[in-house]
Amino acid sequence: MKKILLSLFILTCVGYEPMSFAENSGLKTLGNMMNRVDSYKVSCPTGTTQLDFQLLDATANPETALLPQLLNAVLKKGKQSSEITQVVSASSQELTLSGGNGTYNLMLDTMTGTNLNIKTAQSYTVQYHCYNSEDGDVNTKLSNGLKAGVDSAIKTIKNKAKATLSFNCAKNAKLKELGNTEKLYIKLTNKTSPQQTSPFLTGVVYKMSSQSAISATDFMGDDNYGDKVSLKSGAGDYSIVIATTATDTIQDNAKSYSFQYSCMNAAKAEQAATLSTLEDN
Amino acid sequence: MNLFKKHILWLASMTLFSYSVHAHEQANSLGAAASAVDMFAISCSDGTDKMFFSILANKASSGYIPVSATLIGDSTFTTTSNNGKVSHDVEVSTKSGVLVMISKTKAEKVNYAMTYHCQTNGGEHTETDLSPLQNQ
Repeated sequence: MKKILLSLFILTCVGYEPMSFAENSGLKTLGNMMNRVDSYKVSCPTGTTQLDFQLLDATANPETALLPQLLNAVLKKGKQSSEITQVVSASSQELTLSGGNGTYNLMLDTMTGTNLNIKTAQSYTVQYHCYNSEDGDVNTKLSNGLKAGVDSAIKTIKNKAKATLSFNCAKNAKLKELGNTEKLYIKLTNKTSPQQTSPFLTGVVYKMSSQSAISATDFMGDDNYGDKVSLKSGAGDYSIVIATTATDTIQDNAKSYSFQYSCMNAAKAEQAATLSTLEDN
Repeated sequence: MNLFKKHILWLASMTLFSYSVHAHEQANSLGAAASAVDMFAISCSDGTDKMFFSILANKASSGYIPVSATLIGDSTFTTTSNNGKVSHDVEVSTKSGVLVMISKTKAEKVNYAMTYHCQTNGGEHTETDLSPLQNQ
């Protein structure tokens, strides 16, 4: 038994690989100024075959999120009105108004609340039901061509615009008492593709002498480093540039970040690395 | 050769000369991932003092999205194309060239075109080469 345990211990020692600990830049910040970068130089000694790199967006401030695009929607019939509902991109909301038989108007606008810096027109679909007292359909088709329970064709609306869709929930005499509309139900779907809600960080590792480069990205919101990248360009000086993708000036674009780096030799062992700051914005 | 013919010949040679040193263009596309990054190395020949660069992003399927070019050399500059408009022309002081990083913020494929050239302080175009380093 002791011989077996000793053998296992020896085998374990032979196969043991010490963990590779990357160098860490420490917490850095990239200021709020647009189109600015931080840059660094990592000097790797003779024997280095590659530089490994990982980036962490450590920004915690939710204010950096871009305002989304959205539609303002309200149902009206005569003096009656539903609550105003905002439908952000890639989401759906339901509106109902108990107004009985007659014509309802769905009124949409992009005058306020939506991010007007995003110039892309929004697209949407609507689905309706003229429900009776038992939540059954009073009719299956309206004069505007819409069919009950079926999404309409995609419609579009630009920024600072208004649109009105009419729904005539007329009485259906064939259904007798159940032919009276009690309420109009609308499902409004904002089909607009959402913008990336937050600017994110990109790190570029390059070696101009060998015309080689690779990039790494990380998104804010967690404590995990992004994917590791390796630039296989040997010993010497590597340059690192940290940039933000922010293009919207109405928000706070400042970023906190750190990065890990290792000069690795052919045996995948870490070599001594020297980090210098070239540009700090 | 009479004077008129000499002028025509001179004009033709100038036209050809101008044509041979016009700005370079390169079209490419950024993949659907929001984090997609393309990178190029622009090399300038000996005698270069500066480089000019601009970018134009085409309309994506959902509309125009901003596409930025970050030029990395002795200094770093960024210029952005949006709403179908060419970015402002970046002038970079360089003797040898720059690294160009193309990025965007939205998860959608977008086509773009870069215009660039190297030149002397006197305005004479110098040899300019572009090498793709990363295409995502």
